[in-house]
Amino acid sequence: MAQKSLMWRLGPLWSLVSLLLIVYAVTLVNSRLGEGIQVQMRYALVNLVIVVALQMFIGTSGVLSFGHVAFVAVGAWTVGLLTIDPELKRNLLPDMFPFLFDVQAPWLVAVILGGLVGGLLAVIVGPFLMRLNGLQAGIATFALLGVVSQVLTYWSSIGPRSGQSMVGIPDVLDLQTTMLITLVIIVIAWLFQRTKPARLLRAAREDPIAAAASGINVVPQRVIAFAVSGVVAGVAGGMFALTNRVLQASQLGIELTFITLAMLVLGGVLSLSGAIVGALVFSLIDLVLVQLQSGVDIGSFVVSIPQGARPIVLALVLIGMLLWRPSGLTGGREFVWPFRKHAPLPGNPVTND
Amino acid sequence: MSNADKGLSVVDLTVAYNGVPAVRGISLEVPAGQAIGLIGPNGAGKSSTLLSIMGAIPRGGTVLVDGIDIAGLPPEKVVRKGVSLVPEGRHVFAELTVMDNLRLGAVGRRDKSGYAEALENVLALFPILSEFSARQAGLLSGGQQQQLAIGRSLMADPDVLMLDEPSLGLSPTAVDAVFEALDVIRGLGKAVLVVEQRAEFTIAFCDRTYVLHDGEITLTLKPEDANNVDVLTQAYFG
Repeated sequence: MAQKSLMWRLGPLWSLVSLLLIVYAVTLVNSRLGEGIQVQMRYALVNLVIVVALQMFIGTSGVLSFGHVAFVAVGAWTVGLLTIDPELKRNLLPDMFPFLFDVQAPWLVAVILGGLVGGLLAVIVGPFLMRLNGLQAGIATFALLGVVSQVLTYWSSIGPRSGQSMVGIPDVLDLQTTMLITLVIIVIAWLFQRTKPARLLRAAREDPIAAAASGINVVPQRVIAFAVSGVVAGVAGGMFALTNRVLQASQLGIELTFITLAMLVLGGVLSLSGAIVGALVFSLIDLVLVQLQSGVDIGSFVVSIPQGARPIVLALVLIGMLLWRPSGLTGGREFVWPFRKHAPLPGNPVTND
Repeated sequence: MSNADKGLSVVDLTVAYNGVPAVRGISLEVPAGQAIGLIGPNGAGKSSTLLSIMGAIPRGGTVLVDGIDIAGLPPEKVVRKGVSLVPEGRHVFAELTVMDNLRLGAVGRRDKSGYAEALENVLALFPILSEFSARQAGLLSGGQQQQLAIGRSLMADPDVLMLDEPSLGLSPTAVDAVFEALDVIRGLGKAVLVVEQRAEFTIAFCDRTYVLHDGEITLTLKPEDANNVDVLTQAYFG
């Protein structure tokens, strides 16, 4: 009995441990499969962190955001500016504010600062955007992404001239380090789920009437969730910068927004487990499709799919998923200790007694 | 403030949906230490009355809580003025534990230091919540969920407790348990406003019961009217 009680109490911790083990195991397997796969895995982990950021906000609050890649973009830009060699910056980014030429930071500090810049942007715009709901919130956050994208594309005082790329970002991040950062982010996201703002937001998402009747004012809680997820998205941006090592604002726009949202929907919006499973499964399918586009030798046969088929197959997978299991692969639930009961969906009491 | 001023006072309350009136200028008093019932057929405007008092839907007229006008306040601020609503259908946070539900109820407390005492009182009133404190609320039975919904509302230490059809979907035993608890709450000096479909039961329990018909109060009944068939017939069929 005591053992069952202990397992009951450790249930939430089990969900964290299982997620860390999954990410570790997938990374370990991929690290044995050649350099090309390792590079793909690094991108998959970057996307996973973006999806976690999305889940921390969308999954917790129930508010749609098409704008989180804006935080990714400013995080990436910050890391780029802080890690490129000063001499290189003078030559390649001549229009920049002069004080930016000599600003430098070690890559880890730069990544943390990238996260903070992402969070700062969220804090600035959050009080305005977080009053909105549903599609209105989606459009407003999409507008934020548009503004940030345009500023990064055309404002050469903080980056390259329009049409050019930010290059010269150092090669300091290997697969193992990328995985370690990802694991830390998962722990942060898991801890965030247990904070008061996250609990209040989940309650308001689940039942707005009951939340209002309980005296919960959602706007400040949403701003907090927006800011914390903005920090995580900014860190993901920093990871992207150090993985891709070449930055253009167009890489951090609509396409990345929809791919990462698709990953979240695939796994299940309402849980951290869903974010992680969705990102990994989507990346795995994508990896297979990339290989198939290049042609895979199986004995004397070469199996391949036509060029351009990859996004079509991914779209079909997503549509099939939405039709077959709209709540995602995890059903929007966290992993629980195998012998623990799930709660029924809201509004379905077991009996009336 | 004298005790007579304590409680809820509603004057000339109006609610309309897209210009169609749902509540047509009703006035009612819910004094401290009394339970007041609001009965009537479906669509009479009972739930609209409660939601408009909470500030969840726009309204006309005046609503005073302990003599203070709460005009224009959103629900979260109405809670801080001392009004709590137990919504129809219980609306517990199913994925959260019983204890988390109770903690969330305390978000709207005016006096944060009284949290521990409020929790103790709620658990004394509903011992089953103490037993199942770590259980997810969605796993509770309907009657237990209703107790949790009431307990959560009490965590805000309201002067006025409003309940929208607390007996809905419950077994007779569970209904008895809920109304026994409401009797205790009334005895604590809270003003209790109950919207119900079970006319006889409500009239017998409440100190006074208003009959709402097509957005207007058509009758005011006393507990002794509970067994009067003519009065009940008039209440529902006019």
